Amino acid sequence: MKFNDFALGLIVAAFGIAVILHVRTFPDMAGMQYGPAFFPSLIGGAFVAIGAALALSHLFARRQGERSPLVVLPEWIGSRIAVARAVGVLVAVVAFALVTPYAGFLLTTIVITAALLALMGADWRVTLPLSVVLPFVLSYVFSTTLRVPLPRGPLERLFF
Amino acid sequence: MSGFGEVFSLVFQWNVLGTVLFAAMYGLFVGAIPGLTATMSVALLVPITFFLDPVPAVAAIATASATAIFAGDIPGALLRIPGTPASAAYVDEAYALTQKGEAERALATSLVTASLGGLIGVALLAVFAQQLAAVAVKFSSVEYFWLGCLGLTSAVAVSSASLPKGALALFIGLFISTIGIDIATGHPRFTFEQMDLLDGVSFIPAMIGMFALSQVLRTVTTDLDTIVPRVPIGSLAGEMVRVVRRYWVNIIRSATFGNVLGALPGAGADIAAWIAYSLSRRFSKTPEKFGKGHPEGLADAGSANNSAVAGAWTPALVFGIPGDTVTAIAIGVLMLKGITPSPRVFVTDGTLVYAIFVAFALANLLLLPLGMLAIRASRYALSIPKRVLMPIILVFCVIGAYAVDNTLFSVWVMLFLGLLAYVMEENGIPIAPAILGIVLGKVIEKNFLITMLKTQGDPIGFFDRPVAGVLGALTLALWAYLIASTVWRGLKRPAVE
Repeated sequence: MKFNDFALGLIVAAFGIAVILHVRTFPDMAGMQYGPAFFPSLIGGAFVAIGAALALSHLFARRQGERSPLVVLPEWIGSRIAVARAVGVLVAVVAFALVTPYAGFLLTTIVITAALLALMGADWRVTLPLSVVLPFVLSYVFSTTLRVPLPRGPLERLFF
Repeated sequence: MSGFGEVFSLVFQWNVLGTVLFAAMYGLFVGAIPGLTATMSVALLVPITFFLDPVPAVAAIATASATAIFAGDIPGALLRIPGTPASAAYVDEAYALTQKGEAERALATSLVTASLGGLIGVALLAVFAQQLAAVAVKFSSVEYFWLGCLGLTSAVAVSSASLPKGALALFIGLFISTIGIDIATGHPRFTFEQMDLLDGVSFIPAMIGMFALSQVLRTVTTDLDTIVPRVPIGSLAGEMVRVVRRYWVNIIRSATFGNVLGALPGAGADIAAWIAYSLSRRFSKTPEKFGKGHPEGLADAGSANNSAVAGAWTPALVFGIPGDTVTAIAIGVLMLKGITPSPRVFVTDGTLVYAIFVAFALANLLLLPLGMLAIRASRYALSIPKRVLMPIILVFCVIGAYAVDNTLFSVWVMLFLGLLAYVMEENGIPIAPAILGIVLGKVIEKNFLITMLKTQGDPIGFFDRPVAGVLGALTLALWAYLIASTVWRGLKRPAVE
């Protein structure tokens, strides 16, 4: 998603104003000029200034005859498979965050790896062994050698 | 300084040597795959270093970054695709050599200059860092405040984006650094009732998201099918000797220069390579040969970028201000291992720091034999299809983010910042200033508040010490120059027909 400088400037400035309004609710520090709101409000102010600069530079360029649409969607948005792959990557991360506490690391990772490999169009002769071997190797390395407590599920109870 | 014996006994242990060897091979592999950067290799390595002793942990990071920067040259020379951004400056030159049937010449030049450049870089690091530390012991909060500001400013100045976009990146980073409990009053800022955000945005998951996840997204949407042609590669060893004989002046000159550039926050190996290459052309006796397959520029740029990798550690160790994105991550690992970057680091952790230098030098020596193997093996690494590689990297991203704090919240952080970085890059907003903003935000705010308390709110306090005054004036002058030159260029721009 590529915004032109005008749209980007407005978004940035609006965010800056939101930051400034929000930090005004922060408490003051007794006897001090510079409380928790001070630094964030400087940053908010900077966002507003940068947003204004971006929007102005766009208007300036426009007066000289440059034209650009507010938002340009990436080219790959027209390709159904590319969109499916992008969504697949995001869904995989979300699924990992939501499902592992219940299904455990092994089961979740096996399913995610297999699904992603299939979605990317990898050869099934690679997909099948890899999506089983990789999660087991990672689970062994991280939970045994590196002592990271990976979320446990049915497969962990079976094997470890 | 502690005895040499103690330092060497820390490094020459099986676990350290084994870790360095593993990290070298890992760095070579990741660097050789186009789209996977040295920073990404380090970010994915961090969760593993958590469980190592301090010396092997930091040695692993130094080694992986040094080898990845060289390995980026391999696909550059063979396919005209730079493996890491640091190789982009001279990819056409290297590929032109390959097209003339002299791939071994391009690769041998890259390898031997990378190794020598790295070694010179480490030597300079050991000297500079200690000298700098001796001066910096006298620094107070004002100097640190201005150093942080100067670092952020130079990160904006050297980024190739326009000034508003570079500055935007910087403030995005600074904003992220304010999330969490306020250091002075303990008031939660921008946490929105999320317990996990009270400690702030966890840095490593943020880094994995911004460098690895965003790259996975870009690759799966636009570049999943690259087909790799095979290139014959001749003898390397003889070429390397010839390169050193003919270009040793270039190597020493560019390694020194690259080291200084690397030490500037925000200017890392890639910028060192660009500038060294263009300087090489300007000072060359045969500038007309450049671009048509001439190893001179490769020798300069190749030694500059590997030396910059070492140079970036100078401000990281002495001030806690990273010279590049790799050392931004390394600072986190250092702190975790109980080594606090400061001017006194040579006193408090002298042995450890020197052990890290020795391991760094060792990595650059190992680069020669391993690099030769990597060049031979490159045809196999390059033929792993991205459709297989991307899911594996994604799994590493997720487990890496999780393993840092053992919390799934980090996976959300990684996802969110990965998307943010993707949108930023789509819009031409550079990532590096944002990373520096995240690292330096707290440092700057803390030292600002301390200074304000000391001077009771008098702004003169920011300039009345000599070093602080110079640093402050430099920072303000740099901003004035950046703004003035941007406005001037905008006004002079001719109308578009």
